[in-house]
Amino acid sequence: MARYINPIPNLESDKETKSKIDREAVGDYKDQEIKYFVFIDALGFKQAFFDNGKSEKSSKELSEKYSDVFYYYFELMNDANFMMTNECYAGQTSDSLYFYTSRADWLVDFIILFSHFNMYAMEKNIFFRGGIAKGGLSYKENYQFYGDSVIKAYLLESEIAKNPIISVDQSTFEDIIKIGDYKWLIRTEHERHYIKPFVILEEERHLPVRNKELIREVKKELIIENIKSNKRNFEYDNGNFGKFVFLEKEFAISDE
Amino acid sequence: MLTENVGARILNIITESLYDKPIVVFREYVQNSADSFSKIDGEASKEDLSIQIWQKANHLYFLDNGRGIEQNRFESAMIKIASSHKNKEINMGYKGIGRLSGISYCNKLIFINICSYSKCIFQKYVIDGDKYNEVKNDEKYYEMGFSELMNEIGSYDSEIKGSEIDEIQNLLSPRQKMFEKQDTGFLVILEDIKPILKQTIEGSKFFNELGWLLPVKFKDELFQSAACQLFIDLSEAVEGGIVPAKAYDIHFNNIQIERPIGSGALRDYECKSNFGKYAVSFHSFSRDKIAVQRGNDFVGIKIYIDNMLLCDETEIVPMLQRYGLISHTANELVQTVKGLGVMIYITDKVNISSNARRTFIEIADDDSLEFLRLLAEFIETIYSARYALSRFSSAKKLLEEEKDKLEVDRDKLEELRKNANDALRALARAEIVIDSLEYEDDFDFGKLNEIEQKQAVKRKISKEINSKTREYLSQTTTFDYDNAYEDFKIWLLSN
Repeated sequence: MARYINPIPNLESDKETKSKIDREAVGDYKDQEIKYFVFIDALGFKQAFFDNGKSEKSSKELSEKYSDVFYYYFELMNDANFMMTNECYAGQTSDSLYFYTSRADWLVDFIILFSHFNMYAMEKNIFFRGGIAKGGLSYKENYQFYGDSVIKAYLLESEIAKNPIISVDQSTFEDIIKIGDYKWLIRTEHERHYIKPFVILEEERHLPVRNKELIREVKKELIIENIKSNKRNFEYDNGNFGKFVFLEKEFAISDE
Repeated sequence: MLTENVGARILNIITESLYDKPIVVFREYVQNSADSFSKIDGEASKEDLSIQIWQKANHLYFLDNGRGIEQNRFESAMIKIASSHKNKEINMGYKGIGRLSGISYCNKLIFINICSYSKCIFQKYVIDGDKYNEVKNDEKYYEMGFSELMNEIGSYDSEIKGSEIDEIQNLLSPRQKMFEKQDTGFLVILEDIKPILKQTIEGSKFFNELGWLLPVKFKDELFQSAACQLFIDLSEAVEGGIVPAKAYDIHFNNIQIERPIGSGALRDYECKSNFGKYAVSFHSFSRDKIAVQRGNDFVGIKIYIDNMLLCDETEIVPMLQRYGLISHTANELVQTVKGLGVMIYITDKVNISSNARRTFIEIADDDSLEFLRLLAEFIETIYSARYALSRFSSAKKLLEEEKDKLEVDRDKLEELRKNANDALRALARAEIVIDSLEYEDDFDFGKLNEIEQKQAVKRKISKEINSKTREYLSQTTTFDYDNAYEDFKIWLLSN
């Protein structure tokens, strides 16, 4: 069954030839296009900086830890095969990462790569939660955008996900399943779909980057140590305790 | 089928004129090995089958662990060739010709039929090249039949015994793993290869050329690229059961041969295409220009049949020019297509076949002509994209240099950009189609003279017959070659 979809070439207008007035014009956003939008947020970011802000040393350590993780995210994105297509975009604002693309197959590649990155972050005791939604996106520059796909992805992250997972909406889920046998990537519980947080542990997967030497080793024993440590720390915080119980269970399933 | 009255000169035609590139020797023996794999039954799976090619001292070896030849058929298979109905002097549609290709390039051509590796049962047939050269200079040569010639220059050993078995075992034992699950095979030895073949093998580009020529797999890294699904699709069967990029495990001097396309050779866009029902293809091109990229070997158009290289743009473009299908010079088009990389896999082997020299397709009927038209259309699309991108790029550069003319030239630039974009999208489309043939129903029959009327009727009948033939072939599963025409007529009357 032929499943490869040819890319649609798109020669962008030469922005450098536009006048300054054009650049500053209001309302020159491109027409809305359907995209898969991924919104990912670092859990407890605000609280972490608040708690550590009092000490310069711990504040600096925290800052360096996040820098390292975000730096690795962009190292991977800059080298990812799908980013060469000019049909994908990855960015960051504060503790949020985002990614959008028009194609489900590149979205899958992003998810596989992010799954590896997510485990690296967990090893550093940073936990992400996110949402992937299909919807409209209007954008002026790659980093200036709005649309219902952004809103839906945000709601999936903040209202639906609860645990440190990447929640996937029904439309995206159906599109992913349609393009290939990707049921190994996604778990469905109570009609909600999410990316298995430790899917990379289940089977060796090729990561879609060109330079394999970029890939950093992930120590899974440190991940489980961090999960257990957070469980202890949040023993009396019902909301957060459940997140790490969930992760511990997911880890055990994937590591079998 | 066997022909007794094929002249001995046929071997001369093979050796002197059919095979003018030494590397084709590799194609012929690998093709034979690949054919033998299709006859495998038993425990061996595709992963267990392989072809090993190696050079040691001045000898060249081709070994496979395929079906081999049935023990009681080996001699007849070696000394006889099946013929087609075609004119024997001009069109060489013979089955079994390929195995003789090595005779041009060595002093002795040896065939070892491995009937059972585990039981050391081997058969041998040897063609003596020196003896052949001797016979060729004899007056009697031009009156000799092919079988008579083979009796003169060939010798058969129905079952090898004694120290010869040890010699063969010495050759095979470093590769005994091939025979763990598959007990049969075939070994071809070109003993004392000629300098020209030796030079070819020692050439710096030789391994790369083998990678383009033979039915080998794509590199693993392509299956991790953004276009990985494309390579997966090409490695799976299409309608009709043909796998376009069907690959075998082939090694040369213990190094696995792969298609020499790395992920670095891919450009901005990789697109899949269909050439009607005849072929599938993929092409790789850049978004900013269609021009030769230094250091990128994946250039030009290559046509494959059974995933074996048939020809490239240096044969394709002149052929299209010969048939009046292109409107630009051959040189210009060859340069144009070198600006991208294309691989075309013929999947309809009923209607499209290779010529006897295996240097191009056989132009026999409307189907082959239609395939040529589709090729021509595709090349024209590349040409249009090349110049549309070039005009846009030149205009952009000019505009940057003369910014005070911004207001007026921006519209023109946008128009050029749109044309270039449209041309790129045309190049990326999934299916190549051509406009309906211009001579169809475009004339008043009554106003034609007698000859023109006959020509028009002939075209119409040919078209109908071709269509009916295709329909007949698609519906029929068993064939009787001798009564094929009668059977077709009966089918035609009832349909």
